[in-house]
Amino acid sequence: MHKLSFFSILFFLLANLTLNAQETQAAFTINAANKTVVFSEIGKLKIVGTDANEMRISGAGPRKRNSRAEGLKLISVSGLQDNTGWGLSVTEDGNTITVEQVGKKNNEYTIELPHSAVLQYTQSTTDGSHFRIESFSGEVDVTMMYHKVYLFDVAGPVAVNCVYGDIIAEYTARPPSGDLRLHATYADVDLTLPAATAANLSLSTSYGDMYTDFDLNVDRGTMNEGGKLNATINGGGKLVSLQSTYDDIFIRKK
Amino acid sequence: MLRLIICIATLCSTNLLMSQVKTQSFDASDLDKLVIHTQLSEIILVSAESDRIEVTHSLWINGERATDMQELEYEVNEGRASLREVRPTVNDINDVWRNSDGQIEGSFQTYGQNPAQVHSVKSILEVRVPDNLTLEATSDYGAIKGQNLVNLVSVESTYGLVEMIFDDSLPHDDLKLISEYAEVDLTLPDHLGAQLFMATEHGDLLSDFDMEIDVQNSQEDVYLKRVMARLNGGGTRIYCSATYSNIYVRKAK
Repeated sequence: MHKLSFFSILFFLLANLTLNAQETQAAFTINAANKTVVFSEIGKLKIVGTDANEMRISGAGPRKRNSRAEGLKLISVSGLQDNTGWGLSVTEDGNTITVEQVGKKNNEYTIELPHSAVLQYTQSTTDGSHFRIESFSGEVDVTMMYHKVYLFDVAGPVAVNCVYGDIIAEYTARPPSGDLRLHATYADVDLTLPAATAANLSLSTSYGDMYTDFDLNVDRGTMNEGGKLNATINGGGKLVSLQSTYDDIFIRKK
Repeated sequence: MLRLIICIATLCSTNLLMSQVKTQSFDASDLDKLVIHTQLSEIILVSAESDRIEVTHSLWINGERATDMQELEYEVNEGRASLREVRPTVNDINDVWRNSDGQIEGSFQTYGQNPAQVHSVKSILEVRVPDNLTLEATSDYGAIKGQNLVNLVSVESTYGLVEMIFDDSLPHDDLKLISEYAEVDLTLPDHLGAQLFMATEHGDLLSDFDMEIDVQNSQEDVYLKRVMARLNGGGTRIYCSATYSNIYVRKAK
């Protein structure tokens, strides 16, 4: 009995310590409906579409509390100020909202973004990690240097350019409603579409292979253009342009 | 002949301590400088209006006082005193923690307590330093902490925290505070002028001062941050570096 009580108290104390080491922080919100939102050099980011008008910034998990940092601000040579409480600077200029990282880039963020917004994202360094967009209907323009880009049910139009990271896009319910351009230089492009998707395919690779389980209606005129191929699936529709200069292209049926 | 006399005098003044030191006191009236080094111990520096250096060396292993592993070496040479921790060493502690399979079951802990840790070591070297002595302190694993040490010129720890507090005065000369893997935490009076140079490669720089950043001579890129800044118009130069951790510069309360 005494042993049980001892372990119960120990468990309670350890649980309490763990909770104290993390903090629940209020999300930062700003109206972003019909605006262009530029995300620049942010470490680990997931965007999720929302019907609300406000962009909502929060952490992907409980944030570690740093008691030494309490009451202090990050010093930035560029003059950026953490005005969100999440280590991010958010500034608004006309119809454009710019979100930038202040300090080191090891925080992980989840940002809810109105479907009416235009999303622009740039990550040019090895810092941070992959970028993920889920269930978003607005326009997307991504430039990524080193990490992977994941798209899940991103209606589009979508343009993604990666140099060293794979592009993995998956549409589970509906096909893209806008044009889809996924271009990687040294990595795979992997696209999964509903089986009934009607699209015009423009595929290109110089040193890789192309794989699919769709029945392609190939435009024979493009077959001699050295790694380029135009085709339609299910009679044709929105443009799906996939390019991987040095790696492979995959188009899969869902 | 003169050289011989100097050599003999130096050798005679060398005080080699091999005993299990708890508290020791040394005459500092003819000294200009004190250099302190520990391998494991946290160093606590206390400024004292005295002409003696007072040293307390404490060691706990797994929560129990261990007096058989403490050894300090104190030498004086031409006005410069050197206080060096000979034991405990990393090997001493590893030997204690080695299980029957030869695996080491602990990690060094020089400040704070970690209840999840099976083994712990807490080793503290507290030194009361005459306030007229120029002071340098280094440690491999230990934190280095101090308050109002106006003649402090250099503090450097490889794995330990560096925490220096100046309540109402600033160092008389340039000051270097360096930790390779842990944080540097500096407290300064909010009304006195200083010139700061702060550098980190994998950490952040944080402050509650309104700093005048010298943008031309500062640099910020993916990992590296090197910031030159003035407080209250500039003054004493203070260099802070924490390669893998954060630097905090805070106002004295």
